[in-house]
Amino acid sequence: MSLKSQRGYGLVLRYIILLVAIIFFLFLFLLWRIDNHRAERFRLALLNQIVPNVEFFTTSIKVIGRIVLDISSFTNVYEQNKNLKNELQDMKKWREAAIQLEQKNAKLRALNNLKVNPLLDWVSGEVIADSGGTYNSSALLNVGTEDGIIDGSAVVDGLGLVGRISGVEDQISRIILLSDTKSYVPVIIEPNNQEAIVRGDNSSTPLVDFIRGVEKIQPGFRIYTSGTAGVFPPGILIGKVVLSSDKKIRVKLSANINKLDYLRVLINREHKIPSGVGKIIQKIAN
Amino acid sequence: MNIIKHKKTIILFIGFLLVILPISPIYNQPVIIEKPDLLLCLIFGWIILDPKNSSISILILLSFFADILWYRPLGLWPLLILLGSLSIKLILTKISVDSFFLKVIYFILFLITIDTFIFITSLIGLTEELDFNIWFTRFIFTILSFPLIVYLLEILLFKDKKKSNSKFL
Repeated sequence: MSLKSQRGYGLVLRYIILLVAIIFFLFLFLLWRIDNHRAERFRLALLNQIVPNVEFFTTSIKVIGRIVLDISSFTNVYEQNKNLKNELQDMKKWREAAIQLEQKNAKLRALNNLKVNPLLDWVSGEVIADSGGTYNSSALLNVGTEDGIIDGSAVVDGLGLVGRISGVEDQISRIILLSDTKSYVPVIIEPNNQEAIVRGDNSSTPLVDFIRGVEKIQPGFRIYTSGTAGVFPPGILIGKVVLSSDKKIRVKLSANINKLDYLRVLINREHKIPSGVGKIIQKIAN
Repeated sequence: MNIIKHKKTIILFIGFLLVILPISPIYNQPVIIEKPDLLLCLIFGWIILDPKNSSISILILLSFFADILWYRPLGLWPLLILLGSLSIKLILTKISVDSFFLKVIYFILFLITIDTFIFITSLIGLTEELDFNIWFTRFIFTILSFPLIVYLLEILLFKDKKKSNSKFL
């Protein structure tokens, strides 16, 4: 076989490989679109293999990031110290108020013979990767089915709701943050007990939609999970109502979703979170 | 041949780091500053600086890896990168791009094409809804990052490329 014809065959083979690659990726994209649930499970299974192996890099970058932050905070240490002293004065007043309220609360609980739900358990985990981007707001936790994590469980930090678990593997689980466009949380707005939905729109202040009695809403009202549909336990603090510059009612999250470190996954082992098409609607109807 | 393989390995490693970097949980990042797509800058920078030896398989591998880790729609970006890089390689066989300014212009055109396509897919419901402001900020930051990436690639890896490029072109 001559060199010229060999090159010709090589070129044809190259074109065939390119064509196969184009068809493969097109097929993969369509598969992702049509059977999204299975495709995402495949992705999470891959992440379960990849992320623990690249943790060395992510941890190194995290450490470097912390050092940079420490250095930058060192430059305004005087200003910080002044602010902290002021905050400490305020906190002392609040501490007294909290102690009094705690005592009052204990008395009322004793009077009502109240029992806290013993079924609600929690598992703490560390954020190992922030998989959010232009498309979504999500993060990966270093706890999975081996640690008892259940798909759909609520995730909180020390201050409020962060999101929910969406996809669990042996060693990792993925959290859909409240800011994600796929996040819809039924809520109660206090003090008027108005029902609404907190909907993520890729911003740090998610929208508050479908409010019953919107005219009664005031900035500063507190928003809690309502527990409707049974995905989230009721009464978890989400944040405060704010009015954005585009005249939309939004929620200023209590949890700092830009600074996620250690999170707590709330697990209700007895309660089954509805899954499948229309199951949540059926549950609400019943 | 060994130098080329060596460069490919370096690009693969840098690309790998650029995929890992955005998923590292670094704190206190302002939400307004959307991370620029440095991987796209690297991919296009490599194609422009070394169209003859830039390996499409490495480019696809990196973008597919990014798809998985960044929770992008599976397969869409590798497909666009594949089609885009083939078209650019074809264009570069006919037009010379020695000017730095021209490289940036080509990159902007390439980015507009890809991003517009992505935005349209989100509008018609094929991918998740995209916030225009976030999309636009990312677009601007990516364009601003490109000259830096190309400059770094040029001084670190492709110092000798001007001669060989002109030979190829």
